[in-house]
Amino acid sequence: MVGDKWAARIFGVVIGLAAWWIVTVLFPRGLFPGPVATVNASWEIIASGVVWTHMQATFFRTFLGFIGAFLVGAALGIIMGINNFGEHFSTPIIVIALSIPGIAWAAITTIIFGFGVAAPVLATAVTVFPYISLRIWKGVENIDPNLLRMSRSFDISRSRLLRRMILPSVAPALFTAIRFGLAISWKVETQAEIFASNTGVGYRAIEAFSRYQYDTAMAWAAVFVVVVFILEMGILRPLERKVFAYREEADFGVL
Amino acid sequence: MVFVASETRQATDADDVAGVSHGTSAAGAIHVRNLTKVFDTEEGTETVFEDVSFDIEPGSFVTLIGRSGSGKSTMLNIISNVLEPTAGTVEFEGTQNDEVTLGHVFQSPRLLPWNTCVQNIEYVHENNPEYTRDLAEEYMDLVGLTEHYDKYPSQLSGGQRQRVGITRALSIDPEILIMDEPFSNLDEITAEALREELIDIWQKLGKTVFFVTHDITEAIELSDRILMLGDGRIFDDMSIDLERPRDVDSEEFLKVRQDAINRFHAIT
Ligand SMILES: Nc1ncnc2c1ncn2[C@@H]1O[C@H](COP(=O)(O)OP(=O)(O)OP(=O)(O)O)[C@@H](O)[C@H]1O
Ligand SMILES: [Mg+2]
Repeated sequence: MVGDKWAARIFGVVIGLAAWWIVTVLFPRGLFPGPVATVNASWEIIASGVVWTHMQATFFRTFLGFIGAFLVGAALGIIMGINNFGEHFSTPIIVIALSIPGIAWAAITTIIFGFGVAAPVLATAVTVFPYISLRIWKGVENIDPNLLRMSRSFDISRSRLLRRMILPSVAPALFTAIRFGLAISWKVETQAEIFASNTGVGYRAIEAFSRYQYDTAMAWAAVFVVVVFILEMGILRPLERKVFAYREEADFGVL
Repeated sequence: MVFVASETRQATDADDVAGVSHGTSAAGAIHVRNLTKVFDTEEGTETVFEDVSFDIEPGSFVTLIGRSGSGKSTMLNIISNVLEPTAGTVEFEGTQNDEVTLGHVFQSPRLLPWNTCVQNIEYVHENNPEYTRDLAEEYMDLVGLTEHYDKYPSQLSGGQRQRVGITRALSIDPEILIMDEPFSNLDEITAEALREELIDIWQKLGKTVFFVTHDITEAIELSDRILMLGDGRIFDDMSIDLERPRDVDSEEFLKVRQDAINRFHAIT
Protein backbone atom coordinates (compact mmCIF):
# COMPACT_ATOMS: atom_id res chain seq x y z
CA MET A 1 0.00 0.00 0.00
CA VAL A 2 2.60 2.54 1.13
CA GLY A 3 4.89 1.36 -1.68
CA ASP A 4 2.11 1.89 -4.21
CA LYS A 5 1.54 5.40 -2.98
CA TRP A 6 5.15 6.39 -3.40
CA ALA A 7 5.44 4.63 -6.75
CA ALA A 8 2.47 6.70 -7.99
CA ARG A 9 3.95 9.94 -6.67
CA ILE A 10 7.36 9.31 -8.21
CA PHE A 11 5.71 8.29 -11.46
CA GLY A 12 3.80 11.59 -11.50
CA VAL A 13 6.95 13.64 -10.93
CA VAL A 14 8.86 11.69 -13.61
CA ILE A 15 6.09 12.26 -16.16
CA GLY A 16 6.11 15.97 -15.36
CA LEU A 17 9.90 16.23 -15.72
CA ALA A 18 9.80 14.29 -18.98
CA ALA A 19 7.15 16.62 -20.40
CA TRP A 20 9.27 19.59 -19.37
CA TRP A 21 12.34 18.07 -21.00
CA ILE A 22 10.46 17.37 -24.26
CA VAL A 23 9.26 20.98 -24.42
CA THR A 24 12.87 22.14 -23.89
CA VAL A 25 14.16 19.92 -26.68
CA LEU A 26 11.39 20.91 -29.12
CA PHE A 27 11.63 24.62 -28.34
CA PRO A 28 13.47 26.60 -31.05
CA ARG A 29 17.09 27.55 -30.49
CA GLY A 30 17.27 26.01 -27.05
CA LEU A 31 15.80 29.14 -25.46
CA PHE A 32 13.59 27.25 -23.01
CA PRO A 33 15.57 26.25 -19.90
CA GLY A 34 15.40 22.54 -19.13
CA PRO A 35 15.45 20.84 -15.72
CA VAL A 36 19.23 20.71 -15.55
CA ALA A 37 19.74 24.37 -16.49
CA THR A 38 17.08 25.33 -13.94
CA VAL A 39 18.73 23.35 -11.15
CA ASN A 40 22.06 24.98 -11.97
CA ALA A 41 20.55 28.45 -11.97
CA SER A 42 18.74 27.69 -8.71
CA TRP A 43 21.98 26.66 -7.17
CA GLU A 44 23.53 29.96 -8.21
CA ILE A 45 20.88 32.14 -6.61
CA ILE A 46 20.94 30.02 -3.48
CA ALA A 47 24.71 30.12 -3.23
CA SER A 48 24.85 33.86 -3.78
CA GLY A 49 22.34 34.36 -0.98
CA VAL A 50 20.00 36.70 -2.86
CA VAL A 51 17.30 34.08 -2.63
CA TRP A 52 16.73 34.58 1.08
CA THR A 53 15.91 38.28 1.18
CA HIS A 54 13.46 38.04 -1.69
CA MET A 55 11.92 34.83 -0.49
CA GLN A 56 11.44 36.41 2.89
CA ALA A 57 9.79 39.46 1.36
CA THR A 58 7.41 37.34 -0.71
CA PHE A 59 6.63 35.05 2.18
CA PHE A 60 5.90 37.88 4.53
CA ARG A 61 3.52 39.59 2.13
CA THR A 62 1.86 36.36 1.02
CA PHE A 63 1.26 35.54 4.64
CA LEU A 64 -0.13 38.99 5.48
CA GLY A 65 -2.35 38.94 2.40
CA PHE A 66 -3.55 35.45 3.25
CA ILE A 67 -4.32 36.40 6.85
CA GLY A 68 -6.34 39.41 5.64
CA ALA A 69 -8.18 37.24 3.12
CA PHE A 70 -8.82 34.61 5.75
CA LEU A 71 -10.25 37.00 8.32
CA VAL A 72 -12.58 38.73 5.87
CA GLY A 73 -13.40 35.52 4.00
CA ALA A 74 -14.13 33.50 7.12
CA ALA A 75 -16.32 36.25 8.57
CA LEU A 76 -18.40 36.46 5.38
CA GLY A 77 -18.48 32.68 5.04
CA ILE A 78 -19.72 32.29 8.59
CA ILE A 79 -22.52 34.82 8.27
CA MET A 80 -23.50 33.24 4.94
CA GLY A 81 -23.66 29.87 6.61
CA ILE A 82 -25.71 30.88 9.60
CA ASN A 83 -28.47 33.04 8.18
CA ASN A 84 -30.37 33.97 5.07
CA PHE A 85 -29.68 37.65 5.39
CA GLY A 86 -25.97 36.93 5.51
CA GLU A 87 -26.24 34.79 2.42
CA HIS A 88 -28.09 37.44 0.45
CA PHE A 89 -25.78 40.14 1.75
CA SER A 90 -22.57 38.31 0.88
CA THR A 91 -23.43 36.63 -2.41
CA PRO A 92 -23.16 39.69 -4.71
CA ILE A 93 -19.96 40.81 -3.00
CA ILE A 94 -18.41 37.41 -3.55
CA VAL A 95 -19.60 36.99 -7.13
CA ILE A 96 -18.19 40.38 -8.07
CA ALA A 97 -14.95 39.82 -6.18
CA LEU A 98 -14.49 36.42 -7.83
CA SER A 99 -14.75 37.93 -11.28
CA ILE A 100 -12.02 40.55 -10.83
CA PRO A 101 -8.58 39.21 -11.78
CA GLY A 102 -5.78 39.50 -9.23
CA ILE A 103 -3.65 41.47 -11.66
CA ALA A 104 -6.38 44.14 -11.87
CA TRP A 105 -6.40 44.46 -8.10
CA ALA A 106 -2.62 44.74 -8.19
CA ALA A 107 -2.89 47.62 -10.63
CA ILE A 108 -5.59 49.34 -8.59
CA THR A 109 -3.80 48.98 -5.26
CA THR A 110 -0.52 50.17 -6.76
CA ILE A 111 -2.22 53.29 -8.09
CA ILE A 112 -3.62 53.93 -4.62
CA PHE A 113 -0.68 52.98 -2.40
CA GLY A 114 2.31 53.15 -4.70
CA PHE A 115 5.32 50.87 -4.27
CA GLY A 116 5.73 49.02 -0.99
CA VAL A 117 4.14 46.41 1.20
CA ALA A 118 0.54 47.64 1.19
CA ALA A 119 -0.24 47.29 -2.51
CA PRO A 120 0.67 43.62 -3.07
CA VAL A 121 -0.66 42.56 0.33
CA LEU A 122 -3.99 44.24 -0.27
CA ALA A 123 -4.25 42.91 -3.82
CA THR A 124 -3.67 39.42 -2.46
CA ALA A 125 -6.19 39.76 0.34
CA VAL A 126 -8.93 41.11 -1.92
CA THR A 127 -8.39 38.48 -4.61
CA VAL A 128 -8.27 35.54 -2.25
CA PHE A 129 -11.03 36.25 0.27
CA PRO A 130 -13.97 35.12 -1.91
CA TYR A 131 -12.44 31.66 -2.32
CA ILE A 132 -12.10 31.41 1.44
CA SER A 133 -15.68 32.61 1.93
CA LEU A 134 -17.05 29.94 -0.38
CA ARG A 135 -15.20 27.12 1.40
CA ILE A 136 -16.10 28.30 4.89
CA TRP A 137 -19.71 28.87 3.86
CA LYS A 138 -20.01 25.25 2.74
CA GLY A 139 -18.27 24.14 5.89
CA VAL A 140 -20.68 26.01 8.13
CA GLU A 141 -23.65 24.72 6.17
CA ASN A 142 -22.37 21.22 6.80
CA ILE A 143 -22.70 21.53 10.56
CA ASP A 144 -25.32 18.97 11.53
CA PRO A 145 -28.29 20.84 13.07
CA ASN A 146 -29.22 17.66 14.90
CA LEU A 147 -25.88 17.68 16.72
CA LEU A 148 -26.52 21.31 17.63
CA ARG A 149 -29.93 20.39 19.05
CA MET A 150 -28.44 17.45 20.89
CA SER A 151 -25.82 19.72 22.43
CA ARG A 152 -28.45 22.22 23.37
CA SER A 153 -30.64 19.65 25.06
CA PHE A 154 -27.66 18.49 27.15
CA ASP A 155 -26.88 22.11 28.15
CA ILE A 156 -23.46 22.20 26.54
CA SER A 157 -21.73 25.57 26.98
CA ARG A 158 -20.77 27.71 24.00
CA SER A 159 -17.06 27.19 24.37
CA ARG A 160 -17.38 23.41 24.63
CA LEU A 161 -19.77 23.42 21.67
CA LEU A 162 -17.23 25.36 19.64
CA ARG A 163 -14.31 23.11 20.53
CA ARG A 164 -15.96 19.72 20.49
CA MET A 165 -18.67 20.11 17.87
CA ILE A 166 -18.33 23.17 15.58
CA LEU A 167 -14.58 23.11 14.93
CA PRO A 168 -14.41 19.40 14.08
CA SER A 169 -17.42 19.90 11.76
CA VAL A 170 -15.77 22.67 9.78
CA ALA A 171 -12.21 21.30 9.97
CA PRO A 172 -12.26 19.73 6.48
CA ALA A 173 -13.49 22.99 4.93
CA LEU A 174 -10.96 24.91 7.01
CA PHE A 175 -8.07 22.84 5.69
CA THR A 176 -9.23 23.23 2.10
CA ALA A 177 -9.64 26.97 2.62
CA ILE A 178 -6.13 27.27 4.06
CA ARG A 179 -4.50 25.12 1.41
CA PHE A 180 -6.17 26.80 -1.57
CA GLY A 181 -6.01 30.19 0.05
CA LEU A 182 -2.24 29.94 0.49
CA ALA A 183 -1.74 28.59 -3.02
CA ILE A 184 -3.75 31.39 -4.62
CA SER A 185 -2.24 34.01 -2.29
CA TRP A 186 1.26 33.13 -3.39
CA LYS A 187 0.28 33.36 -7.05
CA VAL A 188 -1.43 36.70 -6.68
CA GLU A 189 1.39 38.05 -4.53
CA THR A 190 4.09 37.20 -7.08
CA GLN A 191 1.97 38.66 -9.88
CA ALA A 192 1.43 41.84 -7.91
CA GLU A 193 5.17 42.16 -7.28
CA ILE A 194 5.69 42.55 -11.02
CA PHE A 195 4.62 46.13 -10.86
CA ALA A 196 3.80 46.87 -7.25
CA SER A 197 7.18 46.12 -5.74
CA ASN A 198 10.91 45.98 -6.30
CA THR A 199 11.57 43.00 -4.11
CA GLY A 200 10.29 39.46 -3.98
CA VAL A 201 10.39 36.25 -5.94
CA GLY A 202 7.89 37.42 -8.57
CA TYR A 203 9.73 40.67 -9.06
CA ARG A 204 13.08 38.90 -9.50
CA ALA A 205 11.63 36.33 -11.88
CA ILE A 206 10.15 38.94 -14.18
CA GLU A 207 13.33 41.00 -13.97
CA ALA A 208 15.45 38.02 -15.00
CA PHE A 209 12.99 37.34 -17.78
CA SER A 210 13.25 40.86 -19.15
CA ARG A 211 17.04 40.45 -19.24
CA TYR A 212 16.64 37.21 -21.23
CA GLN A 213 17.96 35.14 -18.29
CA TYR A 214 15.29 32.52 -18.74
CA ASP A 215 17.05 29.91 -16.63
CA THR A 216 17.26 32.32 -13.68
CA ALA A 217 13.58 33.26 -14.10
CA MET A 218 12.76 29.57 -14.00
CA ALA A 219 15.01 29.05 -10.98
CA TRP A 220 13.07 31.61 -8.92
CA ALA A 221 9.88 29.71 -9.59
CA ALA A 222 11.50 26.34 -8.91
CA VAL A 223 12.94 27.39 -5.57
CA PHE A 224 9.55 28.52 -4.41
CA VAL A 225 7.91 25.29 -5.52
CA VAL A 226 10.32 23.42 -3.26
CA VAL A 227 9.48 25.65 -0.31
CA VAL A 228 5.74 25.29 -0.81
CA PHE A 229 6.18 21.54 -1.10
CA ILE A 230 8.07 21.45 2.20
CA LEU A 231 5.34 23.52 3.86
CA GLU A 232 2.66 21.16 2.61
CA MET A 233 4.48 17.99 3.61
CA GLY A 234 6.08 19.35 6.77
CA ILE A 235 3.20 21.29 8.33
CA LEU A 236 -0.17 21.00 6.60
CA ARG A 237 -0.21 17.24 6.00
CA PRO A 238 0.93 16.16 9.47
CA LEU A 239 -1.52 18.59 11.06
CA GLU A 240 -4.34 17.29 8.91
CA ARG A 241 -3.40 13.73 9.71
CA LYS A 242 -3.57 14.51 13.39
CA VAL A 243 -6.93 16.29 13.20
CA PHE A 244 -8.50 13.56 11.10
CA ALA A 245 -6.91 10.62 12.89
CA TYR A 246 -10.37 9.47 13.87
CA ARG A 247 -11.30 8.97 10.24
CA GLU A 248 -8.44 6.64 9.47
CA GLU A 249 -8.95 4.74 12.65
CA ALA A 250 -12.63 4.47 11.87
CA ASP A 251 -11.88 3.38 8.32
CA PHE A 252 -13.30 6.39 6.57
CA GLY A 253 -10.68 5.77 3.93
CA VAL A 254 -7.22 7.20 3.53
CA LEU A 255 -7.01 10.94 3.20
CA MET B 1 -46.54 12.14 48.06
CA VAL B 2 -45.88 12.11 44.38
CA PHE B 3 -43.23 9.42 44.85
CA VAL B 4 -45.57 6.71 46.07
CA ALA B 5 -46.39 5.02 42.81
CA SER B 6 -42.83 4.57 41.73
CA GLU B 7 -41.44 3.55 45.09
CA THR B 8 -43.58 0.47 45.21
CA ARG B 9 -42.56 -0.53 41.75
CA GLN B 10 -38.84 0.01 41.92
CA ALA B 11 -38.35 -1.31 45.44
CA THR B 12 -36.26 -4.27 44.27
CA ASP B 13 -32.64 -3.74 43.24
CA ALA B 14 -32.61 -0.10 42.41
CA ASP B 15 -29.35 0.62 44.16
CA ASP B 16 -26.88 -1.85 42.81
CA VAL B 17 -27.16 -1.60 39.06
CA ALA B 18 -23.67 -2.19 37.78
CA GLY B 19 -22.37 -0.18 40.70
CA VAL B 20 -23.84 2.94 39.14
CA SER B 21 -25.03 5.37 41.73
CA HIS B 22 -28.17 7.28 41.09
CA GLY B 23 -30.84 9.20 42.89
CA THR B 24 -32.77 6.95 45.23
CA SER B 25 -36.01 8.90 45.11
CA ALA B 26 -37.89 8.71 41.85
CA ALA B 27 -38.82 12.34 41.49
CA GLY B 28 -39.80 13.23 37.99
CA ALA B 29 -43.44 14.21 37.70
CA ILE B 30 -44.35 16.39 34.73
CA HIS B 31 -47.29 18.78 34.78
CA VAL B 32 -48.31 20.19 31.41
CA ARG B 33 -50.81 23.03 31.70
CA ASN B 34 -52.79 24.67 28.90
CA LEU B 35 -50.02 24.26 26.39
CA THR B 36 -50.47 25.93 23.01
CA LYS B 37 -47.98 26.03 20.19
CA VAL B 38 -48.40 28.19 17.13
CA PHE B 39 -45.72 28.38 14.45
CA ASP B 40 -45.34 31.47 12.32
CA THR B 41 -44.61 30.27 8.83
CA GLU B 42 -44.30 32.09 5.52
CA GLU B 43 -47.87 31.13 4.63
CA GLY B 44 -49.31 32.37 7.91
CA THR B 45 -49.67 30.76 11.29
CA GLU B 46 -49.97 27.06 12.04
CA THR B 47 -51.50 25.91 15.30
CA VAL B 48 -49.96 22.57 16.18
CA PHE B 49 -51.96 22.07 19.40
CA GLU B 50 -54.05 24.21 21.66
CA ASP B 51 -54.76 24.20 25.39
CA VAL B 52 -53.27 20.78 26.08
CA SER B 53 -52.98 19.65 29.72
CA PHE B 54 -51.84 16.39 31.27
CA ASP B 55 -49.85 15.05 34.22
CA ILE B 56 -47.24 12.36 34.25
CA GLU B 57 -46.64 10.29 37.37
CA PRO B 58 -43.06 9.95 38.57
CA GLY B 59 -41.52 6.65 37.54
CA SER B 60 -44.20 5.88 34.99
CA PHE B 61 -43.70 5.01 31.35
CA VAL B 62 -45.95 7.23 29.28
CA THR B 63 -46.12 7.20 25.51
CA LEU B 64 -47.41 9.92 23.24
CA ILE B 65 -48.71 8.59 19.95
CA GLY B 66 -50.02 10.45 16.96
CA ARG B 67 -49.76 10.61 13.22
CA SER B 68 -46.84 12.18 11.43
CA GLY B 69 -47.14 15.94 11.78
CA SER B 70 -49.52 15.80 14.74
CA GLY B 71 -47.00 17.64 16.92
CA LYS B 72 -45.33 14.90 18.98
CA SER B 73 -41.81 16.19 18.51
CA THR B 74 -42.99 19.73 19.08
CA MET B 75 -44.48 18.63 22.40
CA LEU B 76 -41.23 16.92 23.44
CA ASN B 77 -39.20 19.92 22.41
CA ILE B 78 -41.33 22.22 24.52
CA ILE B 79 -41.14 19.90 27.51
CA SER B 80 -37.38 19.75 27.15
CA ASN B 81 -37.11 23.52 26.70
CA VAL B 82 -35.69 23.35 23.19
CA LEU B 83 -38.80 25.21 21.96
CA GLU B 84 -40.80 27.96 23.67
CA PRO B 85 -44.53 27.35 24.04
CA THR B 86 -46.87 30.02 22.64
CA ALA B 87 -48.92 29.72 25.82
CA GLY B 88 -49.07 27.46 28.85
CA THR B 89 -46.51 26.00 31.22
CA VAL B 90 -44.53 22.87 31.88
CA GLU B 91 -43.64 22.13 35.48
CA PHE B 92 -41.56 19.40 37.01
CA GLU B 93 -41.23 17.90 40.43
CA GLY B 94 -37.61 17.15 41.14
CA THR B 95 -35.52 15.94 44.02
CA GLN B 96 -34.67 19.48 44.97
CA ASN B 97 -36.21 22.83 44.07
CA ASP B 98 -38.23 21.17 41.34
CA GLU B 99 -35.14 21.17 39.18
CA VAL B 100 -35.00 18.05 37.10
CA THR B 101 -32.48 16.61 34.73
CA LEU B 102 -33.78 15.40 31.40
CA GLY B 103 -32.03 12.73 29.38
CA HIS B 104 -32.76 12.76 25.65
CA VAL B 105 -32.70 9.92 23.23
CA PHE B 106 -33.32 10.94 19.65
CA GLN B 107 -34.58 9.19 16.56
CA SER B 108 -31.05 9.08 15.15
CA PRO B 109 -28.38 8.61 17.80
CA ARG B 110 -26.79 12.04 17.24
CA LEU B 111 -23.29 11.04 18.24
CA LEU B 112 -20.19 13.11 17.52
CA PRO B 113 -18.56 11.11 14.71
CA TRP B 114 -15.06 12.30 15.68
CA ASN B 115 -15.39 11.05 19.23
CA THR B 116 -15.31 7.51 20.61
CA CYS B 117 -18.26 6.11 22.54
CA VAL B 118 -16.70 7.00 25.89
CA GLN B 119 -15.84 10.51 24.65
CA ASN B 120 -19.41 10.94 23.43
CA ILE B 121 -20.64 10.17 26.91
CA GLU B 122 -18.01 12.39 28.50
CA TYR B 123 -19.18 15.24 26.22
CA VAL B 124 -22.44 15.67 28.14
CA HIS B 125 -20.76 15.67 31.56
CA GLU B 126 -19.36 19.17 31.29
CA ASN B 127 -20.77 20.27 34.62
CA ASN B 128 -20.22 17.04 36.47
CA PRO B 129 -17.01 17.21 38.53
CA GLU B 130 -17.49 13.59 39.52
CA TYR B 131 -17.35 12.30 35.99
CA THR B 132 -14.83 9.54 35.48
CA ARG B 133 -14.24 7.11 32.66
CA ASP B 134 -15.50 4.35 34.96
CA LEU B 135 -18.92 5.95 35.00
CA ALA B 136 -19.12 5.89 31.21
CA GLU B 137 -17.93 2.30 31.14
CA GLU B 138 -20.41 1.16 33.76
CA TYR B 139 -23.31 2.62 31.84
CA MET B 140 -22.04 1.08 28.63
CA ASP B 141 -21.89 -2.30 30.37
CA LEU B 142 -25.53 -1.80 31.30
CA VAL B 143 -26.58 -1.85 27.63
CA GLY B 144 -24.14 -4.55 26.59
CA LEU B 145 -21.48 -2.40 24.96
CA THR B 146 -18.56 -3.66 27.03
CA GLU B 147 -16.41 -4.45 24.00
CA HIS B 148 -16.91 -1.09 22.37
CA TYR B 149 -15.73 1.63 24.77
CA ASP B 150 -13.18 3.15 22.43
CA LYS B 151 -14.84 2.57 19.11
CA TYR B 152 -16.03 5.38 16.90
CA PRO B 153 -19.73 5.53 15.97
CA SER B 154 -18.92 4.60 12.38
CA GLN B 155 -17.51 1.31 13.65
CA LEU B 156 -20.78 0.30 15.29
CA SER B 157 -24.03 -1.13 13.96
CA GLY B 158 -27.17 1.00 13.94
CA GLY B 159 -28.48 -0.74 17.04
CA GLN B 160 -25.21 -0.31 18.91
CA ARG B 161 -25.14 3.36 18.03
CA GLN B 162 -28.63 3.81 19.38
CA ARG B 163 -27.51 2.01 22.54
CA VAL B 164 -24.74 4.58 22.92
CA GLY B 165 -27.37 7.30 22.55
CA ILE B 166 -29.42 5.69 25.31
CA THR B 167 -26.31 5.26 27.46
CA ARG B 168 -25.43 8.91 27.07
CA ALA B 169 -28.89 9.95 28.22
CA LEU B 170 -28.85 7.54 31.18
CA SER B 171 -25.34 8.51 32.24
CA ILE B 172 -26.39 11.94 33.45
CA ASP B 173 -28.75 10.18 35.85
CA PRO B 174 -31.84 12.06 34.69
CA GLU B 175 -35.10 11.92 36.59
CA ILE B 176 -36.88 11.91 33.25
CA LEU B 177 -35.90 10.11 30.08
CA ILE B 178 -37.30 11.70 26.93
CA MET B 179 -37.33 9.49 23.86
CA ASP B 180 -38.49 10.57 20.40
CA GLU B 181 -39.07 7.50 18.20
CA PRO B 182 -35.74 6.03 19.28
CA PHE B 183 -36.25 2.69 17.56
CA SER B 184 -37.97 3.69 14.34
CA ASN B 185 -34.76 3.66 12.29
CA LEU B 186 -33.82 0.14 13.36
CA ASP B 187 -34.73 -3.23 11.93
CA GLU B 188 -37.49 -4.97 13.84
CA ILE B 189 -35.28 -7.61 15.48
CA THR B 190 -32.86 -5.02 16.83
CA ALA B 191 -35.71 -2.72 17.83
CA GLU B 192 -37.39 -5.52 19.78
CA ALA B 193 -34.17 -6.37 21.61
CA LEU B 194 -33.73 -2.72 22.54
CA ARG B 195 -37.32 -2.42 23.75
CA GLU B 196 -36.78 -5.32 26.11
CA GLU B 197 -33.53 -3.80 27.35
CA LEU B 198 -35.20 -0.45 27.83
CA ILE B 199 -37.96 -1.97 29.96
CA ASP B 200 -35.30 -3.81 31.95
CA ILE B 201 -33.34 -0.65 32.59
CA TRP B 202 -36.45 1.34 33.38
CA GLN B 203 -37.54 -1.22 35.96
CA LYS B 204 -34.07 -1.21 37.51
CA LEU B 205 -33.44 2.54 37.55
CA GLY B 206 -36.97 3.77 38.10
CA LYS B 207 -36.96 6.80 35.86
CA THR B 208 -39.94 8.56 34.40
CA VAL B 209 -39.99 7.80 30.69
CA PHE B 210 -41.81 10.02 28.23
CA PHE B 211 -41.75 8.20 24.93
CA VAL B 212 -42.95 9.16 21.47
CA THR B 213 -43.85 6.76 18.68
CA HIS B 214 -46.36 6.32 15.90
CA ASP B 215 -46.27 2.55 16.34
CA ILE B 216 -49.28 1.44 18.41
CA THR B 217 -47.89 -2.04 19.09
CA GLU B 218 -44.66 -0.56 20.41
CA ALA B 219 -46.62 1.86 22.58
CA ILE B 220 -48.66 -0.93 24.17
CA GLU B 221 -45.66 -3.17 24.64
CA LEU B 222 -43.80 -0.49 26.57
CA SER B 223 -46.19 1.83 28.34
CA ASP B 224 -48.23 2.20 31.48
CA ARG B 225 -50.26 4.77 29.70
CA ILE B 226 -50.80 6.09 26.19
CA LEU B 227 -51.68 9.67 25.29
CA MET B 228 -53.16 10.09 21.82
CA LEU B 229 -52.38 13.36 20.09
CA GLY B 230 -54.39 14.54 17.09
CA ASP B 231 -56.53 17.43 15.91
CA GLY B 232 -54.41 19.70 18.06
CA ARG B 233 -55.35 18.05 21.36
CA ILE B 234 -54.91 14.94 23.49
CA PHE B 235 -58.04 13.15 22.35
CA ASP B 236 -57.60 9.98 24.38
CA ASP B 237 -55.74 8.86 27.48
CA MET B 238 -55.49 5.10 27.78
CA SER B 239 -54.07 3.06 30.68
CA ILE B 240 -52.39 -0.20 29.75
CA ASP B 241 -52.76 -2.66 32.60
CA LEU B 242 -51.13 -5.68 30.96
CA GLU B 243 -48.68 -7.59 33.11
CA ARG B 244 -44.99 -7.39 32.34
CA PRO B 245 -43.11 -8.87 30.59
CA ARG B 246 -45.60 -8.48 27.79
CA ASP B 247 -46.07 -11.00 25.03
CA VAL B 248 -47.12 -9.21 21.86
CA ASP B 249 -48.72 -12.39 20.52
CA SER B 250 -50.86 -13.14 23.55
CA GLU B 251 -54.61 -12.89 23.34
CA GLU B 252 -54.86 -10.14 25.99
CA PHE B 253 -52.24 -8.09 24.17
CA LEU B 254 -54.04 -8.37 20.85
CA LYS B 255 -57.30 -7.39 22.50
CA VAL B 256 -55.79 -4.28 24.05
CA ARG B 257 -54.15 -3.51 20.74
CA GLN B 258 -57.43 -3.74 18.85
CA ASP B 259 -59.06 -1.52 21.45
CA ALA B 260 -56.26 1.03 21.09
CA ILE B 261 -56.50 1.00 17.32
CA ASN B 262 -60.25 1.61 17.50
CA ARG B 263 -59.78 4.48 19.90
CA PHE B 264 -56.93 5.90 17.83
CA HIS B 265 -59.11 5.94 14.73
CA ALA B 266 -61.99 7.53 16.56
CA ILE B 267 -61.05 10.99 15.38
CA THR B 268 -60.66 10.24 11.68
N1 LIG C 1 -39.88 25.04 13.27
C1 LIG C 1 -41.10 24.90 12.70
N2 LIG C 1 -41.65 25.91 12.00
C2 LIG C 1 -42.86 25.78 11.44
N3 LIG C 1 -43.62 24.69 11.53
C3 LIG C 1 -43.13 23.64 12.21
C4 LIG C 1 -41.84 23.69 12.83
N4 LIG C 1 -41.61 22.50 13.45
C5 LIG C 1 -42.71 21.76 13.22
N5 LIG C 1 -43.62 22.43 12.48
C6 LIG C 1 -44.94 21.92 12.06
O1 LIG C 1 -45.60 21.47 13.21
C7 LIG C 1 -46.29 20.27 12.93
C8 LIG C 1 -45.90 19.20 13.93
O2 LIG C 1 -44.55 18.81 13.70
P1 LIG C 1 -43.85 17.70 14.58
O3 LIG C 1 -42.46 17.56 14.11
O4 LIG C 1 -44.06 18.01 16.00
O5 LIG C 1 -44.68 16.40 14.19
P2 LIG C 1 -44.49 14.90 14.67
O6 LIG C 1 -45.77 14.48 15.28
O7 LIG C 1 -43.27 14.75 15.49
O8 LIG C 1 -44.30 14.14 13.30
P3 LIG C 1 -43.36 12.87 12.94
O9 LIG C 1 -44.11 11.66 13.40
O10 LIG C 1 -43.32 12.91 11.44
O11 LIG C 1 -42.07 13.06 13.58
C9 LIG C 1 -46.00 19.91 11.49
O12 LIG C 1 -47.10 20.27 10.70
C10 LIG C 1 -44.79 20.75 11.14
O13 LIG C 1 -44.87 21.14 9.80
MG1 LIG D 1 -41.34 13.81 15.23
